Amino acid sequence: MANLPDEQPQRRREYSGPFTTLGIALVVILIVGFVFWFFELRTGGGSNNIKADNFGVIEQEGDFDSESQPAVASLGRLAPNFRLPNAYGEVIKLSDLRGQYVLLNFWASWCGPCRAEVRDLSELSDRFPEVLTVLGINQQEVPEIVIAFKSQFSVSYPLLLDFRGQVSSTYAISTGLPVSLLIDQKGVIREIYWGALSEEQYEYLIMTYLL
Amino acid sequence: MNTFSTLQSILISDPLRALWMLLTNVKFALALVFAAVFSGLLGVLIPQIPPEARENTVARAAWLELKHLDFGVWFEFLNALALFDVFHSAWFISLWFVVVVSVTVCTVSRFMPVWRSIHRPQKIVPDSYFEKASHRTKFSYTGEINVVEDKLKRLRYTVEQVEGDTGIPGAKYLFAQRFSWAQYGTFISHLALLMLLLGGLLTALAGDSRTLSLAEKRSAVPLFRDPGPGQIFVEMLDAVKGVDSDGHIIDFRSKFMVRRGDENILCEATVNDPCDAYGYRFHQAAFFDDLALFSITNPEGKLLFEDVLDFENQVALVPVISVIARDGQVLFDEAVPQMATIESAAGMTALAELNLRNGSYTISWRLPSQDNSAENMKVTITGPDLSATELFVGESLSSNLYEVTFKNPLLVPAINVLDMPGVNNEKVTVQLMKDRWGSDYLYAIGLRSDGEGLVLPIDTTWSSEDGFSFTFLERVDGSGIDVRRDPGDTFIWIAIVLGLLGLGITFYIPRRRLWVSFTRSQIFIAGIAPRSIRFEQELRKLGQAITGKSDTQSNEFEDD
Repeated sequence: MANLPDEQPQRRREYSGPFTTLGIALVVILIVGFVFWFFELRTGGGSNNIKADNFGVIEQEGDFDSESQPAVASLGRLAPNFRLPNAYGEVIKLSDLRGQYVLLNFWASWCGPCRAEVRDLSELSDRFPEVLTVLGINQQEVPEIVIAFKSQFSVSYPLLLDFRGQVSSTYAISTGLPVSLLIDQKGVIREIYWGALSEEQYEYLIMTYLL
Repeated sequence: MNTFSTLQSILISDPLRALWMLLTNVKFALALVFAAVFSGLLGVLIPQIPPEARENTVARAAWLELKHLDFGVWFEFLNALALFDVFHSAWFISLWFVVVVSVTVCTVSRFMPVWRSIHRPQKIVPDSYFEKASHRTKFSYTGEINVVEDKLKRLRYTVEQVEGDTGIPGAKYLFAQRFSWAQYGTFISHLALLMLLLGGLLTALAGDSRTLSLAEKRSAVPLFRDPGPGQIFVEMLDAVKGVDSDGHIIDFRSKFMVRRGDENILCEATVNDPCDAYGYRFHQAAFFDDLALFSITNPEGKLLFEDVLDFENQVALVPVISVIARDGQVLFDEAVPQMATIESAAGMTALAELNLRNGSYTISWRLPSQDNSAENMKVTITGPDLSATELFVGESLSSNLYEVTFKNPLLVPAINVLDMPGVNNEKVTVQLMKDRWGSDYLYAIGLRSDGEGLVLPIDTTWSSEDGFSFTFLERVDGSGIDVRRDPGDTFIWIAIVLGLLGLGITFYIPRRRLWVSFTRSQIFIAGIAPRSIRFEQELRKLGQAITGKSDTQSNEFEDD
């Protein structure tokens, strides 16, 4: 005797065994998993991500208070350590500069206020070579631009390349440029300046720290 | 036995079947979708670890410490749930993974029943079905079964005579269906959803998008910020603003070379017609015609600057003036650059000087404020033979020697350049002008030490007292080129087509299936149709057509 017909066959789901029903899903899972592994895990994210050699933020090194709170880009805290090259391949490590003040200046060639303050920063760097190192950290531009900029504005301090913006992200440079941070001899952040430094700020910086 | 206890017993006896039941459960699917949307919202609202910091544990720790300071006591809770990295958290990926699996299992599980229903439909039903079906009718009929068959065929049904179930003596049976393939609609819709998820996953994981600003006559620009063997360079050859014979803009297009290693691809792209090269798609996104190629060399001849001076869409308002001598000779017919500005309580006034045969004429005009637009611009002209005379747009004045006309206001590219190399002034104001013959020139204030403006035609070098040389090389065009790679877009387009097809079939193809039982005196009809169709009414009309009677309320029809 015949059964009653299925009134909504298009809505029916049928379990025909683990191999035919769940097996096909398993194949899809494997394909998705492979795609995920290939694009996300295999290269560490991104499709054209060619890693620069250990450049970026690194562990603290050298003389610092290991009992202190973790490094973070905040006043009174240990500055995150980094290792970055300049446009000619020379590498500078922040921790190697312990013992003197470091003024980190985050900049880009397209940023008007950054261009405007370059001359003042060069003067500052030239005036206190024994106690202060100014480091310009470029925002992910190509070396050719940085070289042209250095020549164009006769920059006297090192300009470092933050290829992937990792150092900038760690220092929370997201709201605008330029941003400058003064780091003391022990690697602790003493001042943070958003925007180009004013004359008063230069004066305060010199009088308070450098003289 | 309720659903839960059924599931519980199956879970023990057949865990894979229990898993299948869960994955194909509609309520479970809705819960998954809601959870995915909600977690996506969390990922948008809560700051996420920048991708460049995520791959470095030290940078990641420093970034998180920054958030620790921002979020205070909430930090530990949010971080424990990986809410600072939602889109890469194991739970978020697992959630979408389960969504994909659920849709896949649903799609797979639907295929066989639908396929069987279409290709091997149940043609024989028990006689009791004619008394129980959702859609059914019966009426008196003493004619031939062939008449019924013909009527159904005329209604585009495929009809076949089949054997009866119980074998009522003399009874005959028909099985008929129309657009049975339309049952694939639901399956196709599910397949579309699966394709959409896979496409979205591919786009999210392997997609890339960036915009390059490329000027003509400049060296090639790298596509990726990190150097490497796969680097792609793009060089703008020609950026074009296409205009018709009336001067209306038709389109913007760019011709550029895309280079990888020693391979070159010549591309031409517009906004709607992209160029594909090395797996990337290049679209025209913007057009700039306010770029000047400019160079500066120091006294030793060393090149300090040779690049595009981008006016960044900044403009200055200037008047176009014509001066015609009494003998009809056109002495001047072009825009006058702003040579100086005076600020007063009434606002800013621009000044320009025009040197004619009999001396210098001064032209002044108010710079527009919010309530003083360029359309209402007026210029004041003073000269050796003229007292101050005001002219509105289109007006002329006549002196003994000339007829002077203020033809129209014009916005020209103009920008203040700070700290230009080789210049003592902090600021140099540069305007990009055209003379009456259509040649470009730069008008620069601040280059000369005496404060006077400087006219710098194309290919002309001017040297300062300090020995710096300034050259306006040429005016160039440029384009913003949008570069994208989206490996998921094919999947997504297919998904969209499948989705529209599936929904269209489901809702607009009137699929029907019916069974007819025919005795000597009566016809019973039962059938299946989508819920949105008034199938009962159709069956009544079918009855009327077969019996030739229009009174559907008569006793011959007995609808349940």
